Amino acid sequence: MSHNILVKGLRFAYPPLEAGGPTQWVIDGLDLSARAGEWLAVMGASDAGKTTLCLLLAGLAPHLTGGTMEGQVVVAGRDTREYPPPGLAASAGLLFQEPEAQLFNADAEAEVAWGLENLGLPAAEIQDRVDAALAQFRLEHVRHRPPDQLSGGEKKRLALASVLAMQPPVIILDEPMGGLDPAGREEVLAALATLRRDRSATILMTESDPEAVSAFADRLVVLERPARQPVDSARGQAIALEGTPREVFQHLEQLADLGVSAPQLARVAATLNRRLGTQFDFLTIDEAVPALAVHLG
Amino acid sequence: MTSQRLDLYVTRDTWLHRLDPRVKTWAVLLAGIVGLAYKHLLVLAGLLLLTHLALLLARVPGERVRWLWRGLAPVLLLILILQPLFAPGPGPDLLRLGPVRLTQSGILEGVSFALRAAALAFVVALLLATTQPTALVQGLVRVGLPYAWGLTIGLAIRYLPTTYGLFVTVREAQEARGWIVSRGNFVKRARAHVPVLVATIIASLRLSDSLGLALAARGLGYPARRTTLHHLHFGAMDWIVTALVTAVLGGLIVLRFVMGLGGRAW
Repeated sequence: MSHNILVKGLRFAYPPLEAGGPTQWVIDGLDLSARAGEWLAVMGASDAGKTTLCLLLAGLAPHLTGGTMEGQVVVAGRDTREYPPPGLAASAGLLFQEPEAQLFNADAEAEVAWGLENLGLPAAEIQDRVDAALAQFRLEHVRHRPPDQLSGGEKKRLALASVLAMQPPVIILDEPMGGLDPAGREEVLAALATLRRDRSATILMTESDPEAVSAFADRLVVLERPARQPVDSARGQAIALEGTPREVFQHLEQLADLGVSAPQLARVAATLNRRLGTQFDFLTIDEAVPALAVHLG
Repeated sequence: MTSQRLDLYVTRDTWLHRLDPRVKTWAVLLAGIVGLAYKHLLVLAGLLLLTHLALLLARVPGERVRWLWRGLAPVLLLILILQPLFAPGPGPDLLRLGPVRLTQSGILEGVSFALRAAALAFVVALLLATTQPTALVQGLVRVGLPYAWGLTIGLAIRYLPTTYGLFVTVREAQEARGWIVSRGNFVKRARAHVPVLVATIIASLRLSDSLGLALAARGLGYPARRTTLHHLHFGAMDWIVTALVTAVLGGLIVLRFVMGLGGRAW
């Protein structure tokens, strides 16, 4: 089976803050792969290198950030070392954590069109893709509104629409739920649900929200807390846990040690299992209600 | 909404908004030359009045115009005070206090400089109020500016409100923790703003770093000939306004440089 994302023996260190300063691995020994149409979630503590992984997959690191890289990252069949970032734009789309830096055009329509214009597509095709992306993320009503006048949820949806309009085979989402209020979170969850139904691209999502991970991901990888080893050290092991979200969220104590939250309902199930000797393994409210109803008779 | 206060573009559908950005940029260029070349009060006041008439026709809200005047007021006041004091010019003294002289020509020069500053500011404001940054960039690129340069200008306009918003956020955050920047005399307030500015500059640098990554991720520099969704169309109205603007402002420029008119404030 073909892999749209293939990461082998990856190690990465940013340049030292001052010349001659210590250089430490931010990612140390990562092996990862994702098939076409698969949704892979990556969790980890706040300094586990999740955003760095996104930059590496999009080819932005080390080309634009500088730093030391070992191993191999292949995205949609292209080795990121051999393709500078503009060349990878059609292969991998990246949704940044902060939409502010990603939305720089005069209005929503121009925002979605900008990347397509860079790809040199004909105007008619650009128009079709812009219309489709705005409709898919329910943004037609803000078509001519400046991005800085949109709500947090609308900004994330617009950034997502801008990435998806380019139709890359690999989509990288860096903390799509980050910094959103409850209304914005619901909007983005609905937008992600449309992606989930589509299933045409490989999606890698870093996320701290375990509910979002259990709702969408086929597979979950939890990164180790970074040991910050010097660059001349032996290769480490970046992945602490791997499996389906249901499998990974069974390891509540290990997740806590790794600085990763589990879904609230997974913790409820574990507590009930411990105290009542039950065998619950629900992660979502939709799973919990019937399971508890059966138990309570 | 601090971010909206500095965003000068006003969404309307007037003939001024619909004009090709190249026509408006050409008009601003000529008006800028007139504003810089002339000292005559009537010409500068006329230019200022014309600009306000255009703002009215573009249905730019009065509050936006007043906001710009409020922003300009300290600069204009400084010009009005300092110009006559430091460059009193020829003519009899109206007032003399030691080495300080005040003359009629000095005062008129001060008024002329203030009018010039206001006229130039409003000419640029008119362009930005009626032209989307994207269209402005597209227009500049069509007349030969490299796309990267046009994009840089567009981004500078786009991120002006964001940077100001950052400044206000940092100031409010520091004030919430007891760092008061709005009390005391001018020097004290200026000093109190230093930590606010440092934090704003650092945040802006981080933002520009992220922006660079975002531009590359969306294919800036992709190995293909860049296309555009909306093409600029130079219509009949554009030709008429170009001819009119060139005749009037170009005529004024000729009068100034060929016939030597308008070189004095009065």
